[in-house]
Formats: sequence, structure tokens, C-alpha cells
Amino acid sequence: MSHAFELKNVSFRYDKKRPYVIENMNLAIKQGTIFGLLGPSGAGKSTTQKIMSKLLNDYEGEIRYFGKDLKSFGKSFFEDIGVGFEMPVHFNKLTAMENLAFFANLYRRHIDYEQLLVRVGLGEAKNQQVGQYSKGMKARLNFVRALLNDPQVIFLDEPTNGLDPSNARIVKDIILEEKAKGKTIFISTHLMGDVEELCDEVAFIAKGKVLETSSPKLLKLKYGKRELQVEYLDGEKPHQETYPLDGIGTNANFLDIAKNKKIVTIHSLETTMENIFIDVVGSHKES
Amino acid sequence: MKTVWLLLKGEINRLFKYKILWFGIAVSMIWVLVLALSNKAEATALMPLLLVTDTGLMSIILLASSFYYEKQEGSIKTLFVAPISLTQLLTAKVISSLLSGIISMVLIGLGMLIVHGVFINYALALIYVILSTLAHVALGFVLVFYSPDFMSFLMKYMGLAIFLMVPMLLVLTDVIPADLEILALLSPTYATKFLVESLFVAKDWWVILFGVFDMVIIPGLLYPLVIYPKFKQYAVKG
Repeated sequence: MSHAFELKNVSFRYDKKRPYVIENMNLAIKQGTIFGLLGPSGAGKSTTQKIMSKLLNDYEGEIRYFGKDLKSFGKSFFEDIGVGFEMPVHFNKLTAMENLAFFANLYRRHIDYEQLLVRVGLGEAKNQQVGQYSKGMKARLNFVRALLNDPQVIFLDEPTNGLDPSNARIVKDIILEEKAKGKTIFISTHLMGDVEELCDEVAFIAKGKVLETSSPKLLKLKYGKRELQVEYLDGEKPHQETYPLDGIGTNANFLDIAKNKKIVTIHSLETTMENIFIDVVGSHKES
Repeated sequence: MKTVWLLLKGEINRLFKYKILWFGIAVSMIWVLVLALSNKAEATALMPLLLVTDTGLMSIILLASSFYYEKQEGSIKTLFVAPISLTQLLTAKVISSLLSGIISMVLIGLGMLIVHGVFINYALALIYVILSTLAHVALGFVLVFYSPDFMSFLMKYMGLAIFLMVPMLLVLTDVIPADLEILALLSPTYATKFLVESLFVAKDWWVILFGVFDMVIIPGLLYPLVIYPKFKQYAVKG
């Protein structure tokens, strides 16, 4: 599988007098996958996205986009990518349709954005001025804007932030559909639920440095406990026991409970992405 | 070219939607009314000053309003991830900023013709208006880049406006004698007044040429050396 993006020792600072916001960052993002960049506020997530989407060019190190130096790409690069910013980025006095029509005309190809507006629940508000939209509506419009040109690589900054669960579900479904079409998706977020559900691979960053890169599944194995917790009733009295997951099928105590007691709950003690986030990023955040 | 046209259409559409251009037109209409209420001699003396205000000082305010709106909305950021070049974007912005001055010139010119029967060389007037707007808008861009918000911009703008108007006052009060008037032409605001006056009163051709040169050199230096390199950096920041 080829890489959509490869970052080699990338460093960046906004001003030569100021400290680095990104320092010696190394990342490899496989084509056709969803990559999550995770970290606390101010970690450098948005700056990394801005560098990769060529909004910021004065970086040190090397970035390769499908094997070619990112700096060698001209404006045609933007035909290939779609960027969803965290903050609203639309003309408030124009309607959603007017906004999207303006941006769509700048591209060689574009999707049926009206249909996508309907899908994300903005069909009825499509002719309303964006300034009258709620935060969630603006976030959904940002998402549509990111997909407007049917991009091969999609950058999404906090795509479900401010959305209610049902709208967040729609957005996540669309993201997974885009991945199924072979698109590469780069998400920066601090919402671990989204990460677990969407990402094939994640990188934790803090203070501009990559702390850990892996898949959510492998991270859970690394940071979690391979244990099983059983809550059961012994008569009327509740009890709780924990057993190692390895050899659980031959564990006599566990089998006894399973056969003879009334089980209330049974859980594997794998850790959550929230816990991993705290473990990996926590100490760096405080220092 | 198609992209510049699309961007320009978008800019003009937004200038109307955000009522920025309507504001400019309303101000020009007030000037027309002032000229209509003046006698022919007063109107002829006033017209250059009014055009200076509209194509010079007002164009800076209109540019800044549009820029800070876009900055506040974040919409300028999303333009930089679209397949357009910085040159195309700047070209559309600069051309759209000319519109207010041109409308003002047409309204004021028509007012002078209808009310006072004063006919001017409109082609030359158009060239002067374009040069004046280009020079002042270039200064406006620089001011915007060094002002984090509109309030801070307004403070600096007041300073700039006074600085640009000082040569006019010095000439009017004879602090700068008539034979050294050429020095006052270094101010694009004074140069605009001088060039518009030359449409009514005969002036030395070489002084006119100096005024034109001044208004060409200011944008000629500022656009490639300051505005082009700073524009994206400022728009993307924050």
C-alpha cells in the first residue's frame, strides 16, 4: 500500500523568534486509510493539517505527497484535496447554496452538493444565510465544503465537534463511505469516540512532537489489561471477580461461576482510547 | 482568466451583500447632493477633494471592511485551499476595490455635467481614479497587515489619513510654496487632487507626469514587495 503522505523530520515555527510549534515530526499516512492525529489543545494538530494542506509552506524537513515533494505541487494540488476546518469558514451573508456554488465553480469537478446538503440535514436551510446557522449547522456545512470537489485526500479538523449524536452519526457514516471509495482521510480530533470508530491508525502528539503512532487496536492491547471482569449474584449477594483472559476457557473458578451463578455483567478489561490518551499525552501536557 | 473572473464576480457580489458597496454609493450620492447645492465655481473646486475622499481614503476603509469580514468569518482561509493562485486572488480583490471609485467618479461626473454643465475628459479621469485607488488600496493593505483587528486598523488609518492630508494643508496654507508643490505630490492623496484638478485647470505636463509616476510607483513597489509576500501569511494566521 503506497503512502498518501510521508512527513520526515518536519519542524515549523510561525516566527523565527518564537519556539517550534511542530518539532521533528515523522508520520506516514497510507493511501485509502483514515489517520487520526490526536492531542490536547495547542498540541500542533491544526498546524500540522495546515502544513499538509499547503496553507503553511515555510516548514523544515520533507513532506512527500504520493511520493513527490509537496513543495513541487502548484495549485493543482488543491483539486486533489478537501479541507474541513474546525471553525466556520463561510461567507455569513450568503446562503449555503451561494457559498457552495461559489467554491464549486473554482474546481474542475464537483459533487452534487445539494444532495449532500440534504443528507447532512441542511436541505431545508440551504437557502438560509449562513450567518443565521447554529454552530452544528455551520460544522455540517464545513464538512460538505470539504467534500465539494470529490477529493482524493480529505482533511477534517474536529469533524463532529458541536454535532448532536444523530448528525455526528451521519457525518461518520459519510467518512466511512469515502474511505470505502479509496479516499485517504486525515482527522485531527480530541474526541476519542470518533477515533475508535473511524481511525485505522493514530498518532498522539503533544507540544508539537509525535509521542506514539499505532492502530487503535494495537494501542488497546499495549495499554490495556488482558483480563475479564465478572459481576455475579451469589444468592442475593453481588460479587465481582477478575480473571486473566489467557486460558479463560480452562479457568475452573470462572467456569464454575459461568455454570452455577447468575451473571449480572461480564466485561473484558481492555482500556479505552480516553485512558490511552491520558496515559500517553497526560504527562507531556503537564510538563 | 476564468478563475479571476469567478473570483471577481464573487468579490463584487459580496461587496453588495455586505452592503459595503452600497455604503460607498450612498457617500457618493451625498457628494453629488453637495455639488448640486453649490454654485459652478464652488463645485469645480470641490470635485477634486470629493474624488480624493472616495477613491483614496474611502477605498482604504472599504478594503479593510471587506478584509476583516473575511478574516472574521474564516472564509479567506478556505480560499487558500482552493485551486487558485495568490496572484489570481489578489487581482480579483484589487479590481473589485476599483469599483467603488469608478462608481463614485461616474456619479460625481454625471452630477457635474447635469447640474453645472461641466464636461471633463472622462477617459483621463478614469485613469486617475484607477491610479489613485491602486495606490491608496496598496497602502490600505499594508495598514491591514499590521493591524490585528478593525479597531486597531482605524487608529492607524487616522494617522495615515492625517499624514496623507498634511501636504495638501501645507500647500493650501502656503507653507509649501507653489514652486515646490512637486514635493506635496509624493502624497498619493495630494497627487490625486492635483491630477483631478488638471482636468479643469491647465497644469505643467511634467508635474502631471510626476504625479502619475508617484501613483504608479507606490503600488508598483508595495504589491510585489510587501502585499504579495505578506497576504497569505496574514490571512492564514489565527
